[in-house]
Amino acid sequence: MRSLASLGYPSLVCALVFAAGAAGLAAVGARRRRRDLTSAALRAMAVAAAATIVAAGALVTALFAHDFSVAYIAQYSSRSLGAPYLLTALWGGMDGSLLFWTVLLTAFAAIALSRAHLRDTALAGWATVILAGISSFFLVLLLVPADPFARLATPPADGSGLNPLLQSPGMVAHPPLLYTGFVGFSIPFAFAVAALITGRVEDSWWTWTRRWTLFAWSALSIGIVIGGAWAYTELGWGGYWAWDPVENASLLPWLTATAYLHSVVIQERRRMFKAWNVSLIVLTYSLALFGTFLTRSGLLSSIHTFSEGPVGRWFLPFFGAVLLGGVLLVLYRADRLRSEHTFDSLLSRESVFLANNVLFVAAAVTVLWGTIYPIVAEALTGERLSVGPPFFDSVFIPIGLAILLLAGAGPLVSWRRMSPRAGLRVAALPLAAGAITAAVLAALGVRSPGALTAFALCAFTAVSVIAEFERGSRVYRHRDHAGLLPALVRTVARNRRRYAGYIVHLGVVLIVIGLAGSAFRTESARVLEPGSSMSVGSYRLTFEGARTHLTPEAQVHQATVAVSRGGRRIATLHPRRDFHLAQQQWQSEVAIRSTPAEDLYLVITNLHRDGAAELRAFVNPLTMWIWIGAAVMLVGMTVLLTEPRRARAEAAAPARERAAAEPVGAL
Amino acid sequence: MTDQPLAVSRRPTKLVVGAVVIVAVVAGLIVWAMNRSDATSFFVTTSQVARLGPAAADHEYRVGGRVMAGSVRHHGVRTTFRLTDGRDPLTVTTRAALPDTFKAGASVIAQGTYSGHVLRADQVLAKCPSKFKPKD
Repeated sequence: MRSLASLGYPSLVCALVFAAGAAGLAAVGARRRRRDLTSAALRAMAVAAAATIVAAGALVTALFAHDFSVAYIAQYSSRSLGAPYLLTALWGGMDGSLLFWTVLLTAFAAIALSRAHLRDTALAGWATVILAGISSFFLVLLLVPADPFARLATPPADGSGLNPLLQSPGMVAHPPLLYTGFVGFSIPFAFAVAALITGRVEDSWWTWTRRWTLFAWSALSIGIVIGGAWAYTELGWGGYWAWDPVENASLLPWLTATAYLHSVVIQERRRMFKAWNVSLIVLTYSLALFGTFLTRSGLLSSIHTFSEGPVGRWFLPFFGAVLLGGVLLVLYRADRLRSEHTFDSLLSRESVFLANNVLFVAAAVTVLWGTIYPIVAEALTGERLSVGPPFFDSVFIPIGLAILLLAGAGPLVSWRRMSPRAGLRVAALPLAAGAITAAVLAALGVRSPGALTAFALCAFTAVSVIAEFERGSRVYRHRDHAGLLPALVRTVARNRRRYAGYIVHLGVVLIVIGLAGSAFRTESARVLEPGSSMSVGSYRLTFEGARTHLTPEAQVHQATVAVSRGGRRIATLHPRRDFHLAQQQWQSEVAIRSTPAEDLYLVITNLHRDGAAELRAFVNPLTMWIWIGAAVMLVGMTVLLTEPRRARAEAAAPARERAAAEPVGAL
Repeated sequence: MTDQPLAVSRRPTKLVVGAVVIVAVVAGLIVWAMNRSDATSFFVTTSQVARLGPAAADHEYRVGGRVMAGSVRHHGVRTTFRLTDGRDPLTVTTRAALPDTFKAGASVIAQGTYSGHVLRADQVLAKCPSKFKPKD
């Protein structure tokens, strides 16, 4: 069966011609200061984006038409696959996901460049060279080693289908969000490089790309949380994060980007940290590339499959060029990146931001070390090993708690300098909240020092941040007699950056509460005959039997488990164990009873011929707060991203005068 | 209140010291954590395990191999099976959930401690946990 797939390869060739042409035109235009050439390059970039979108459209229509003469479609879809998952098959395999990545890259580049061009032609010219160059690299990948349109000589009657693990709502949202994050970082990277090349490192370009960084960072944050939720509901081991290298790959650029979003505030207000900020942008983009290829290169299975992998050998020179080029440019422009101010005092908001940055980068180094140590060790000693969660937990948790402490301390400390006595006065209430929380929990029998510290810090930070809202909204409540909610809305609207940042921090506090709950996880496993029971936590679980039915996709075995507590039946859960016909593979579907206090998490891990079921039950305290915290973060991100243009311009204006006049700062 | 006199003349020694202290503490944490016995586990084949002998007892291993046909026994939630790399087989016992791809002939990785004849696995994973399989 033929489909529009035959359009795909020519479209990609066309996209490459225009992207490469854009890079060339923009380079000449930027060197000779020819505006007409730069404009032509921007139009060429838009054509490249359109052609890439046509190619992706061709693959999607071919997926829906079940054109199994395309090797990719035969490998990652099947006739019985439902409509949403036919779409997810676009990024379910390596070649398709690279195509999707390239669609985002060319489209983001075309949008960002057309806007920047109006403001600063020279800078946009060099940014076009970078973005068109990166696009060309990815298009070459798609044409040579990772062609998603490669044909099969003898098309099969049906495809081998999408991995059942990927057939879940989380997998519809998780990869696009991660890619949006990864690809979004190429915009600030391109402008940073352009600013370094032109030597025009003054502040204006930061402010326009800041929004792209925020956008990319927000997408990546939500994508990571959805990835955790997907693991929690699909993988059936009761947890959401395993320090798997694939997970680490998404966390690495997030950590450095988060550091950047904080230190750029210092740059705007105090003209400090310029070289550091450019370095963070280069590092973030390099780590995003590293993550993209780490998951595709075979590097994770073994260093030997890496060099043999089709994409790996293309990736290394490109990654090296990005990282080395970025570092050399920063060194070349080091004299122009000097801070215009220095620190005044150890007790100042600047130093809180500095400590925050050091810790975020240290966290990134930790995760990077644990992720690449197996590769390094294999290269040096030939021995293959893996680094497990105990390593990551024992380093990352203390760093994370220290960062949480800073999130609470930040609002209490003023810019430039502050007397220790004044510091103690404002810190008294949050400190008391933290101490009382720890004391109450200890009295209730909580013994884990890690969890006590985490909850105490959560209380400290939450009270510190909520006090900021109280202070900020006081004038509206007292002077204008506004209600609490209208007063809060006006407070946030007046200084979006600062208060939206605090909303994000409150979300982080809730997430930490949820993560800390995992210290109290309990689990139990038993093989149950129908009618028999087991206990986990305060619950009594009775297996009432399983029913089997057939769907086009799978043979479904649905168990009925009665949940009672204190002798009273409170719920009925239906964990499933499905046998997927296309893949000939079992897949457990968990059942979760979620409450703010705790999740009861059931998974059937085996079904015996005699009707008995192997039931594993987990009690995960406070897990729901992770998802609630992420939703609160999303609110804060939305407020930040919808900041009106005028307010942004004001916030970006030289902050020297304001810094002296205003006691507390903005995020 | 102007920035100039105070800010430019003084070097931020205290801050540099503070940053260095943070870096040193984190570096110390990393070194300490890497030396935990459960931090790293060596990836070996079943015949390599057979040659390890008693010295292996105090370390974590990840053993890769194929599940031997007819070797799988369930005793409640405990499962015993034999893994092989084509040469020396290894008996694995575990109370952990088995991966959904687990069956005779499947490639799996069992992670745990080796007692001298049996690997007590606290985790049994499918051979290829990553989403994008490298082309063999």
